[in-house]
Parts: sequence; structure tokens; C-alpha cells
Amino acid sequence: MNKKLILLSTLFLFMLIAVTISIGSSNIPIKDIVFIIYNKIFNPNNLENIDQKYVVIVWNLRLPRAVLALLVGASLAVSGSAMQSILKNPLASPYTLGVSAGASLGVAVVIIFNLSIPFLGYFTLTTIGFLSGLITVVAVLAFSRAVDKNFSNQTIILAGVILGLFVSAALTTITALAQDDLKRIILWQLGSFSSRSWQHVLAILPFFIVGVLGTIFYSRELDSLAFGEEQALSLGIEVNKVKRRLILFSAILAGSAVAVSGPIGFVGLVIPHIVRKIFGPRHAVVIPMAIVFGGGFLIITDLIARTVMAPIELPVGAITALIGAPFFALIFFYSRRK
Amino acid sequence: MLKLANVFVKYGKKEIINDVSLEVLPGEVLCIIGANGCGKTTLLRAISNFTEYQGSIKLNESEINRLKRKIIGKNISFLSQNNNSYFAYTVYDCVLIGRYSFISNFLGRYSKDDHEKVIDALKMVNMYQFKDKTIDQLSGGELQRIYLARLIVQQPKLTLLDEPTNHLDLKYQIEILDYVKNWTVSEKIISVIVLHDLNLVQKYADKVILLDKGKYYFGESKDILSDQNLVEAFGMSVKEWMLNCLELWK
Repeated sequence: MNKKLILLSTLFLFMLIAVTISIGSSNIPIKDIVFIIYNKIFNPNNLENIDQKYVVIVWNLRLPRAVLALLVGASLAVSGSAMQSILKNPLASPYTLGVSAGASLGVAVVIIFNLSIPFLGYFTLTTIGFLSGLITVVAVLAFSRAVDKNFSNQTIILAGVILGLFVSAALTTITALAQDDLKRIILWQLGSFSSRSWQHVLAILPFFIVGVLGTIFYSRELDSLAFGEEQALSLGIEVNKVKRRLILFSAILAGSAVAVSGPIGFVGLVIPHIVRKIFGPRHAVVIPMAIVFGGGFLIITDLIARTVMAPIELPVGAITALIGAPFFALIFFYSRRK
Repeated sequence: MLKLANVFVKYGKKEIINDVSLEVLPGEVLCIIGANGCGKTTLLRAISNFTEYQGSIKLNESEINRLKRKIIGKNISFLSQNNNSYFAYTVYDCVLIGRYSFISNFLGRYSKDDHEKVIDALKMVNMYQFKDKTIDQLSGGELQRIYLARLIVQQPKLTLLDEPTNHLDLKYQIEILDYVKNWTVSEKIISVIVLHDLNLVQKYADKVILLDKGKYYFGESKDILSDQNLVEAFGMSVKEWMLNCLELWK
């Protein structure tokens, strides 16, 4: 049953990508989309017979946007699945340890001081966002280890919350002072995939691969950690070492996702629960399925965000919770009534 | 053989375990008893090297804190008080996790032998028919049997149980301890159990260590459970109270 479902949901994801590329200000038949993508990759000379406008829309605008939404959703869902197990807390999310707060502060500083690092140019924002998110998590880990030799989950979560609040307060303060840049800072914090390109896809891809493979490598350890640290220790797991590594992989995933799209909530918290509900809690299955469901969910929400009030684009970060919260509530209360 | 020699455990600056020495042989059950906060769990955690200790704790001549975690995982299994999971693993998967330290291949797949061990252990605790249920569908007593099966698949030489009968009704308390006792005797392992219920200690312990405000008493269970020791440790005459209760049952 499980294998069939895995196959079906993966096929559904590919269909979703095709559908989301086809819908927009000009609708493009799926047949043409497949033709364009196939020939772009395998046979570039064969594209002369097709409307060049379509080629640009598919290849330069909508495909990279869909792929980026897929990677960001997948990163957040994988990161969230791991965090919930590592911290043994179903309310944990990729942002629990301050990644998004740190990234937001870094990005705000870049915008306000109009920074641009040579060689990085346009990607200054993305790079600084990633680094400041990661630095925040490393600071949380270092602080937790310094005050608590046992490196316990309560300490880590509390340190994450405290540092996150501190960084957010710093962000609020400098945002209030920077009236001119207010709009840009806030727009970034809403999260969006608008005008993202292949470069963004390439920017997130290496982190996605490292983060996902690292997390999958530790999927048995994640299963054990879900039963508590003492159980994991007694099974022969070097808990502190494994926990530190897993948190770093999670932070890399969440940090790179936030860096390219802005902080998008809800995906990382809720998709893991939905995946566990459908496929059971074994991480060897949960992690790959979090990629499919997290990616698919953001593709759908981004489609809604850009089409429902077109030509105005709604922030995808708001849509995720607007659609996700009722959906989530429905699944959980329905299954409880049974 | 489990041998503790002059073991000290500190928590911050506070000395919790103070110069404890004891020996337990294979096939024996050692119960750790004492008033709340006297360091029972701390002693258990030191034996599994979750907590640092000074002095010497040896299992079959190997000093515990010199062993790698994975080796400890193959020799010592531990049932903590807090091992529930929010996630609904199946009974089978929950026990299979116990084979973690036996995985040797790079891909991390469980072998045929691992699966056979899981089936045997589930049959041993009489839970095989529940193998496809999820753990959130089980009662407290059934769950504890599943965790016991997980300890069994680790094939340890020493097993540590921290208040394994908590929150269970009497029938399940007896059942769990019967399983532990039979397993201990038949496989010649050593069991160390923290227990509150002194009736259960009387029934199941071969040896007892009674911790009492920095002092301790260790020996055969009949010697340690003397009224004089218990009055000192618990501040009341345990024997008198137990016998009074018995009168009520007549």
C-alpha cells in the first residue's frame, strides 16, 4: 500500500509542476511545456518551430520558479521533520532555533546600508541571509553547550527562543529607524518566489543536496531520538555529536531556503505531521516524502498566490497558512473522530 | 560480573553518590532502593555512562567509561522512565530500533538475523500478535512489554531499568518483573532495577542497594531489607506498616 502511495504522490508532483507552469497570464498547453523542456535539455535546435514567447515563459520564468518552490518547500519540510525528532517536540519547526530571525536581520542590514559584496552582486542578499541565519543557529548551539553540559533539548529550545527574540527585537528596532527601506524589508519578510531565476535554483541546490543526504544518512538515528535521548544513548548512538550534525544539516536547509525566498512559515511545521500521518513515522520514508509533499505544497500555494488576484501577487508566506491551517485542522480532527 | 569500586558521582558541586562499591553476578537481579532524591537514577545513569563518575565501574573487566558508545549499546540496555514518542511507530519498528548497534553495513539496513531477533523477542513478551499495531494504540502495560522486547533484542550482558513498573496496575507490574526475572536467569544476564515498591523488591531482588543520604547498604536482599535499615532510610517502620496492611486483608 505504502509503495503505491509513494509512487502515486511522486507522479502527482510531476503533474503539479506541469500544471503550475501551464497556468498564468498566458496559458500554455502542457503538451508544449513538455516539448519545450525536453528539447531545451536534449535538443536545443528543435525549438525553432515553436512560439519563442512560450519558450521564454516556460524556460526562463515559470520552470525556475516552480523548481525553486519545490526545493524551498522540500528543504523546509525535511528540516522540520528532523527538528521535530531531534528536539522531541512536535511543535518544533525549521525556525525554532532562530534561522529565519537571523536571516531577516542580515537581509535588513544589507538593504538599509545598501551593501553589495564584489563578485556576489545581486546575490549579496541571499548570501548574507544564509550566513546570518546559520550564524544564529551556531550561536544557539554554542550557548547551549556552554551553559548545559548535557546539551538537553529544553536548553537548546530555550536558547533558540531567547536568541530569536533578541534578534527579532534588533530587527524591529532598525526597521523602525529605516523608514525609506521599510517596504523592501517587509516585502522580503513576507516570502515570495516572484522574479526568481535559475541562478536562485543553482544557489540553493548544493545546500539542498548536502542537507537532504546528510539527514537521510541519519534517518535511523532520527528514529531513535524520537524516543528520547536516553533511549538513543543506550542504543549506542553518540547523541550529542549526532544531534549537533543533524541540527547543522537542518539549519543549512532552512537557511538556504530562507535566503532565496524569504521566511515562509507553516510548511516546515505541518508537512512533517501530514507525511507521518500518511506514511508512518519511519524517517527513511518520512524524509523523501517530506521532499515530495513539502515541494508540492509550495508549488500549489505559489500558484494560488500568483493567480488568484492576478496581476497582483499575494505573498506566498501568507497563503501557506491561509490554506494550510484549515486543511491541517481538517485532517487532524477528521482522523481523531474516526 | 558487574563491579563498582569506590564510585562517586557529583552533580555540580553536590555529591550524589558517595563511595559506592558493590558486585553483582550474572543471573542476579540487583534492586536499587531509597527515599526520593537519594540518587537511585543517578547511580543507574552512571552505570550506563550517561553521567560521569569517579572510581571504577566494570562490566566483565571492562571499564565502562572507556568503552565506545556503540560497544556499550551492545552490552548494556537501558529502560528510562521517559521513553515515549509522539510519533506512532509500529510495535515492530519500535523493537527493531533496538538492533541499532548491530548494523554493520554502510547502507544501514537491518539484516535477516535482526528481524528474527525482533520476532523472537516479541514472542517472548507475548506481544507478537500486536506487531503491526502502532504504539499509541497500546495500554501502558502492553507498551512496557514492547520496551522490554527492545531491551531483549539488544542482547545485553547487563540491563538497567528505571522504575519499570510505574503507572502499571498490579497484574502488569508482576508480569513485567516476571519477564525480567526469567530473562535474567535464563540468559545469565545482570539486571539492575530501580524500584519503589518494597514488596516487589522482597519478591524479585537477589541483591539490594539501599541509598540513604550519602550512606548506603548493600548485600543479599534479606540482609538489607531489615527493619532497622528501612527505618533509617525512609523515616518510618516499613515492616510494621506492611504487616498492618496484611492484617486488613485477612
